[in-house]
Amino acid sequence: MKKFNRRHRRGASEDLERLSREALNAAALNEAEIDEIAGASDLYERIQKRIVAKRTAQRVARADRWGAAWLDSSLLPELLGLRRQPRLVFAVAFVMLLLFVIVMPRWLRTTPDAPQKAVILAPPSLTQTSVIGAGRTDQIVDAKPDKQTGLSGRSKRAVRRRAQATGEIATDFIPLTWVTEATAMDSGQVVRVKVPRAMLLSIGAATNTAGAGEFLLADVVVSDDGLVRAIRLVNR
Amino acid sequence: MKSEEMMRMQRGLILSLMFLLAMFDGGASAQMARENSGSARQQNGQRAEQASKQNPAGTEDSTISILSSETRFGLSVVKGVPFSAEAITENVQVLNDGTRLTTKATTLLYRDSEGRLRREQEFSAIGPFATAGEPVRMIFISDPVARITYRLDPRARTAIKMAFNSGPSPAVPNAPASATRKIESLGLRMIEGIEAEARRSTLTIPAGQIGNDRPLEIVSERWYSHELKVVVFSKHSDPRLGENTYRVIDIKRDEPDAALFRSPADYKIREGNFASGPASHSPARAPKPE
Repeated sequence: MKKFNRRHRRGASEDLERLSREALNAAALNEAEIDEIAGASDLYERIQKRIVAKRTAQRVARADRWGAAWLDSSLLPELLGLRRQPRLVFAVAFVMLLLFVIVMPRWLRTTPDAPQKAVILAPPSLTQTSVIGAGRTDQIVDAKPDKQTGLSGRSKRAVRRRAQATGEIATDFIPLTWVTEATAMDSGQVVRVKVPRAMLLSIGAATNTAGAGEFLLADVVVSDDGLVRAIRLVNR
Repeated sequence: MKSEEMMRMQRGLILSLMFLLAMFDGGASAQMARENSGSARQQNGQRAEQASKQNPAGTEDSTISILSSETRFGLSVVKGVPFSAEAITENVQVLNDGTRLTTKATTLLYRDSEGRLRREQEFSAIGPFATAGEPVRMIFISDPVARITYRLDPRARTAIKMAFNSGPSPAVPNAPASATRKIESLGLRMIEGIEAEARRSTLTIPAGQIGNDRPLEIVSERWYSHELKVVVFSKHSDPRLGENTYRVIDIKRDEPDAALFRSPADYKIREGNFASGPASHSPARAPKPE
């Protein structure tokens, strides 16, 4: 970077000297006048600006001659104001590289052979998943990290591992009706059913109308008095 | 001049690299989107194929198919109060055009003095939703003495033997906090010759809570026999699901046949869990063990 800056300055000084000589010759000034002009505080900056403006105009004219200024990659920094900020160029390149490193693994993960974890049909609580474990007599494990279940982060990781092992993911239970503890039947069962998506639409448990004729797997909580209390969708 | 050329080459190289990276990033994103949509289509196709395999007749386009019982919950052991009875569950739903949809199911209940339970449940519907094909029959025997639970399949004549385990109640979300609850006692009443105490709860969901333009009332009644320690009558009325009525009839206080609480001799017993094997689809009642 230092080498680059040094070369840049050397090039600018040569141009400055050349332009100054041309100006003095053209003006035919005497010594006093030359001293007065040379003593001006902003002389150097004014001349340097003129050099830059002249060079840019030349390049734009050259690029326009080819009809594609944007193709002149060496001109682009001038147009974008990056010429004086080469560090910005490197920073942008670094950010792009970083993005590439982040995106590439995700891209590789979504190959057709990779197991899909998402339930296609999406009720509102889809992101809160439950996993049906290997021991299915006590399999109702909620991954929702709230007061109801109290699963820690470690438990959630275990749930994810079991999801990968069993390949079965379920949403949280979606209530179809509500009962109070005073009148609820305490006992019941969870029944695995195959349910048409159209029926889920009718009870408001689904939002996606595409493929309404499809069948989906679901678990239904039925209390022993026959009351259907809740449903959850299962993805194998 | 040479150094200027070098600088120009460097700048060109950097900008070209940036351009290529941007192109690749965009391409990768597009590829990801294509892969995701392709997988979704593939998954939907597999699911549809699976559904069609399970429904070769294709006659159940708008009905539920019961596959298995995943778990039972809330089992309590009651000793010294044997009985047998029949429970009838009826669900009536009135549609907007006045059509009445009625589903009915029968369950046979047995309990012995040791607290063993036998439950023969017939599913012709899940709540208001009719099931496909023949009614599904599920028979459960829970034996707290032997610490065993059986699930019988009369059609295949198999029994799945499981550890005695009443699973936890599923975490079903409660009613919205804004709902008002009113619980009242209805006193005592004789039902089928058994004294039962009733309670009624009224849950009112305020307007606008679930898209309702007026308050929604869900009324539940439960008649509980302290003597038998069972619910002998219940009624649940929800405008969204209709009215669900459960009543226990033909209550007998005799000790049921002990063979009812064992796996029939000609049944093949195998170890498993609730989800093992298909549910019974036999329309006939399970033969009583000899």
